[in-house]
Amino acid sequence: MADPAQTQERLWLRENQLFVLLTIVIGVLAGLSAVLFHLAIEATSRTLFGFEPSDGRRFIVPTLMSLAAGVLLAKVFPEGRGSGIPQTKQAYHLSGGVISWRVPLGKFITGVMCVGGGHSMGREGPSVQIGAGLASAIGQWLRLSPARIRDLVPVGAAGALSAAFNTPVAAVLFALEEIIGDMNARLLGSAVAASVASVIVARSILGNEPLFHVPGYELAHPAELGAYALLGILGGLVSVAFCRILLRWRRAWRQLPARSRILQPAFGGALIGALLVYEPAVAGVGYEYVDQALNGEMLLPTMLVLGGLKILATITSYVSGNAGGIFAPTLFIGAMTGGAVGHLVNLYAPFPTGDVGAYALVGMGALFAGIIRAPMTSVFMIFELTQDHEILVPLMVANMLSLMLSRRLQPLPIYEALLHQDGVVLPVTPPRDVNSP
Amino acid sequence: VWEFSSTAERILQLRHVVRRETVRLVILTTVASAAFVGTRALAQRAEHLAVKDAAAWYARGQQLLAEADAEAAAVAFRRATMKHRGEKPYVLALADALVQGGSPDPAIRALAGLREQNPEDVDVNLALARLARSRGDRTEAVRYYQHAIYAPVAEAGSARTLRLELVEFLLESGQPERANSELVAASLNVPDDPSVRLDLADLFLRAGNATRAAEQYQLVLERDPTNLGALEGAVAAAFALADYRRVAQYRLPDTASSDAVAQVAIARAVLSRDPLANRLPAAERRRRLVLNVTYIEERWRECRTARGQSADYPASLIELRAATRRTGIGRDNEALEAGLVTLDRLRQELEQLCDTVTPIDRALAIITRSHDLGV
Repeated sequence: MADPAQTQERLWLRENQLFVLLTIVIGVLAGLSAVLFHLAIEATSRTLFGFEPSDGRRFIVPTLMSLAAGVLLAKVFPEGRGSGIPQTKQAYHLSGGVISWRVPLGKFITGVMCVGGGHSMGREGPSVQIGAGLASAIGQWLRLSPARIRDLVPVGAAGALSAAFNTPVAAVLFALEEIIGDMNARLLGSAVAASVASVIVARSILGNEPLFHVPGYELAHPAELGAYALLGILGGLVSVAFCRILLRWRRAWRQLPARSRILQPAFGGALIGALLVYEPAVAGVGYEYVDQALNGEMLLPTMLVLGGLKILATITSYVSGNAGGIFAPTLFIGAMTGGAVGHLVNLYAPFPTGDVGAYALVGMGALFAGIIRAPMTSVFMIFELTQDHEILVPLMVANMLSLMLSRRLQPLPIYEALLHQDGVVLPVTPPRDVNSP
Repeated sequence: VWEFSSTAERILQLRHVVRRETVRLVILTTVASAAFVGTRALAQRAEHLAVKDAAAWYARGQQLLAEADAEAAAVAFRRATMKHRGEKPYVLALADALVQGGSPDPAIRALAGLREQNPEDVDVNLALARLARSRGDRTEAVRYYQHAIYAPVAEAGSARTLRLELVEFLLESGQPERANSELVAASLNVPDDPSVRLDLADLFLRAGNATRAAEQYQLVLERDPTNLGALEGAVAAAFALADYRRVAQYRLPDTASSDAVAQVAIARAVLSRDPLANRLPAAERRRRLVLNVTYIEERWRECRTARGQSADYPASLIELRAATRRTGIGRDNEALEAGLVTLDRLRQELEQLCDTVTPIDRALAIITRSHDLGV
């Protein structure tokens, strides 16, 4: 007869092995959910706006979609508002990772309606919440231990982000850096497994096309690092301005009578509709324009106008309570800011300079570090997008300066500040970067 | 939370958990597989729609381009390239629209992106070459032309056409030596097609390689002696080679260009008016000198009178006329050379005075130069 201790050990081991398998399956499902979310947004946008939408259609689509989404968000899926990352952090840190199955479902539906309906919001934040929610729901269905259920939240988040951005390493780092808040978390292995499984699924469905087509980068002159440092400082200032305006406006909207909440998304939708009549380029995710900026195919005035309008549009979409993230708008604004700096450097620098696209790329990283406050994710994400290690030095310079400046001027990171406005305070805000005091 | 009263119970419960998890994991895997298949089908449909949209945007761009709205066309083409990434005709059209809209830099970047995917693509390299050419970037233009020419998929005919375009560019940008090298390469294995040979010969002539040009013209004339282009080209090539005897032999039809006719006339004048030509009897040498003096006298009178000036001959011409009366002058090479020098100086004066330059004027200049005389 087998030794009971050995049997018990063997069963524990088997249970652990099953958990590893589960993280892979969750990675696959999270990846599929991110791909489906992406496809659904594209299909909705195509259906609603058609080939060449008229001004009337540009105005009416976001208004009506937000009206419908507003009803759903108020009556059926109240957790679906906004990005989804603060809610995911809240679930991980305060609710033992327990997320209702209604959350991913609601986020999927309302996210598709809002982003596909023309709101200036991203799909990555909602994807993270959907992935994390799916993982948690599966954990609950499997009747896993509470610790295991909690562990699955960042695993699902990593899987979803990996597929959404096609950046598996950055997705793992994001889960550790932003969701867990600990780069040394023991969940690294599970997050990696889910991320890899997810990206394989996404690539096998959507192909291995990078999110952006970026030309080769080159540091034309050592003095260019000074220009990148300036870009980092500017990126930090823009990040702080973005966060402060967003938080202030959100506070103002929240002070409106509670019964108006159901109509707030529709009002935001109408404002966005009016903006789209003036400038359709700020609609939705906007990666088409980011790609143009990265390839230096955009002029300085266009970049300045688009960057400014995107800030306005994103804040309007977000504070009015629509469902969608700020990842993509952050990259958009960063690309425009960086590209504008690149144009100016090209015009006035007394030394040889690189392409405008390189500045746009570093600008993306700087804004990501300044707004999202995930510097390692930012560096690796840009690296994975470009596959060019030459970009790392200027990227790190700009990222660190942007991060330091934004931390100094706006101590509370955006996601935590949003939770604070909702009356939620996370128990621990551990240091997440080497510059932490 | 698992709480156990004994090891046996613990094992029992663990077994139950593992079994339950295994079963549910199998169910989950099945669901994931089905979801994968379904999502893949949806993605394929979405891709199909995106390709369709891209084609529609491309057509819209073409329409806008035809309406001369290059900026709007570029926006449409860009949408097409975003919907169907890496589709060559769309990127080429985008680059074209951007260039027409006055934004060559973005056009270069768009093409460079496409070239990164396939560095040896003939169309992309050619588009980049033409773009560099229009910007006056000679080095880049030549580089891209070379890539297009030596692309492994380039057919012999298209490679030759591209090479001839490169030669045109090299000639336009003042690089006849490089053009000549390219032409020599292009002339290898040329099909026996008169139009191809004529193009080649014309370019050889423009590149200053009259010998090769003459060879190609001759090959065309062997097949078709009445080919006007070849006749004119052959005259020009022989003239450039200073083979006046050959030039003079050509019989040009009435439809020939005035340049070719003039070249034949000059060549004939050179042959008939050179007093220092080899193996001429002294009397003929003297006759030619007299002929030239008489011509200059006539031109002098004609041009001076036309300008309302006195038609009196200059002293040098009077002296030369006097010298020609000496019968021995035909045997006096020095006197003949001095006479030619005087005539050449007067001819230059007349060129300033008269509005036209006749074939004989040019013949006299050639004769003087051919004997290393003149001013």
